[in-house]
Amino acid sequence: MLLDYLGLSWHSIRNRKLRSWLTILGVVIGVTAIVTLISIGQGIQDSITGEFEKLGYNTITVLPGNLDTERGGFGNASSGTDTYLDSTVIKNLEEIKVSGATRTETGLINSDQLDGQAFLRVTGMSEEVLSNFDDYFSGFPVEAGERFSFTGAPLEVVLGSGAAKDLGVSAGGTVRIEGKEFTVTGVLKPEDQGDGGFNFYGDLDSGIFVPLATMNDLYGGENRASIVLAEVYEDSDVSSVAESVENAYTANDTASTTITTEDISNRVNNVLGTIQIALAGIAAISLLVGGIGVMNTMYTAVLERTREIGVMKAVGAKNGQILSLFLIESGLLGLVGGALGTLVGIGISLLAGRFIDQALSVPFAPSFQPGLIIGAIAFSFVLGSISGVLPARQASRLQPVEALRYE
Amino acid sequence: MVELKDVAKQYQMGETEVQALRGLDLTVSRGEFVAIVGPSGSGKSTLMHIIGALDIPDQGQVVLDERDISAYEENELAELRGNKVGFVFQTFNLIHTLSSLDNVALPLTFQGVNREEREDRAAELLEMVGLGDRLRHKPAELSGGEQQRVSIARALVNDPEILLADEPTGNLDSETGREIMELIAGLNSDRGMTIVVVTHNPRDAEYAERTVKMFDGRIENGKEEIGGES
Repeated sequence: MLLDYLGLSWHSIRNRKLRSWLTILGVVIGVTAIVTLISIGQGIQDSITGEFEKLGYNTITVLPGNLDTERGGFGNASSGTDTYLDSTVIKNLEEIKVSGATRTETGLINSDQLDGQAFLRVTGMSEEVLSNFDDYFSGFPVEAGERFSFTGAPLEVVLGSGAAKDLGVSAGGTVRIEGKEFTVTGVLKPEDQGDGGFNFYGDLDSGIFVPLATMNDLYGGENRASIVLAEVYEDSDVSSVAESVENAYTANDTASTTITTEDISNRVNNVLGTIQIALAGIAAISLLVGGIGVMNTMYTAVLERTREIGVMKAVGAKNGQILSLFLIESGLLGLVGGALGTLVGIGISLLAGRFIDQALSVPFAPSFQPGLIIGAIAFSFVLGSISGVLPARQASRLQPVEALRYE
Repeated sequence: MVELKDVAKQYQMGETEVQALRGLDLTVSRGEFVAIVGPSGSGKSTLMHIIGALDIPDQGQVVLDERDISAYEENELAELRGNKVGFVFQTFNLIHTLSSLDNVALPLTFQGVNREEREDRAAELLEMVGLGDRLRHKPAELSGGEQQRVSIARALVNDPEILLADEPTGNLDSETGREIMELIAGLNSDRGMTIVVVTHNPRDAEYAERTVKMFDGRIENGKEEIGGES
């Protein structure tokens, strides 16, 4: 029965090809826009979530002071404050699997190759940072030479590629930090050639890295840290551990702020989600216009086929049957538009995905969730049908005698 | 078969109200072939619409196949048309996007008959009206006479109790018109089908057993005339 109606509707759609295609085009544009925007948006979200997953959700970042973490960029967070954390405070917390610490100061640097001297950012890092948290530094990829050692407080330094260039030294050379001579054990890969992804440090290229113990020797203070990183055990409740970390620092008379990967990822996803909804909303407007196009076409069709409707009624078609016939027809316009729009949308997203992948250093692929594709097609069918409701009702209510008399 | 009592109908034609039927009585017996003649505007078509359950009267009683349909709902009328009535129109009224076969099968679609049965029945009837080799042709590819044959086949596809034809030869040349009238008359003589033909062509009326003359919404002299005169 339904199949018979489909056949009849299909006949009339094909009979006025140009108009049907133009109407369908209206739907195609709307669906394309929605599919493209959502799949790219979802792809971006996925790739960012992927980066967070690389860091692991069971890491807690601890910063000194009551920071407004909304401002982000906590690689530099300590530079504006003169407070530090004691890196040993949470060492003995039983919820913590391992913890590491970094300390960043602005140091007076020079080298034989540099005229005068420079103030550059110097970061000390504990052994655990490199063994457990090196993702925070894009994996700390030493290109030439090797990482510094941690025995005692060696005068060893690893330079970011930019810093090495500015200071005119390479692995094996020497630089002076606060007047003390350091051996350059290694130079990091330039960031854009690294494995990509985020680092929480900021500009790795301009960094100067030394062991934490050396750092404390240079600038004084026992166990001083600008950032403490803590890894919790699998399956533990990260946010409750974060709370005990803050409590431990409070007991130590230090204000602290904890940030979990989940916090950041949630926040980023919230922002992205909002942007995505806004974009989809704009795309939905074009879909609405497509729906109005369907309605317009269907009204014309009802007018054009008034006599035909009269004939169908004369041979026994009931109002409901005429209604279904026109609803199916408008639904089909929507469905075809939806299917084509989804295909075009997938094509455009894949193409755009390539450009985005090249433009960002983050691996990116648009995400086509089955829900999106099925939803887009089903929604277009429903949209088409809804747009056809009024014209179809008009058709079904025509008086057979008047319809037959219609010229 | 058909019984009309004191039937009146008026309709709006633009600004003016047209009194199409003014209290009219008519009986058509089962197996009868009746021609309704009269000048245009005499209410012939309106009468046919009411006999065929396409419309209901403002006043009076209509009994079709022993059912009083004067107060039927739209869908009840549609049901009745789908099962009991076959229409043939002056302008054929075929659906131009559909083939002869699909046009003939269309009424059965609305009765929920399955495709195979529909097409068998349609092909059989097209064969009967002499268009066995034109099943896949669209109306535009057929002559006027052939189109009218398709429309007769369509009118018969639901096995109606009564066949109503509104000026069936009006758009045809006289030779083709004659063939069509013979075809219609044959349905009456061979199958005993009840037939009402509305026409203003006296030659068409000659095929009928009985002619009813209409004038001004009434049957002339207020009475049905018996006999085949024109």
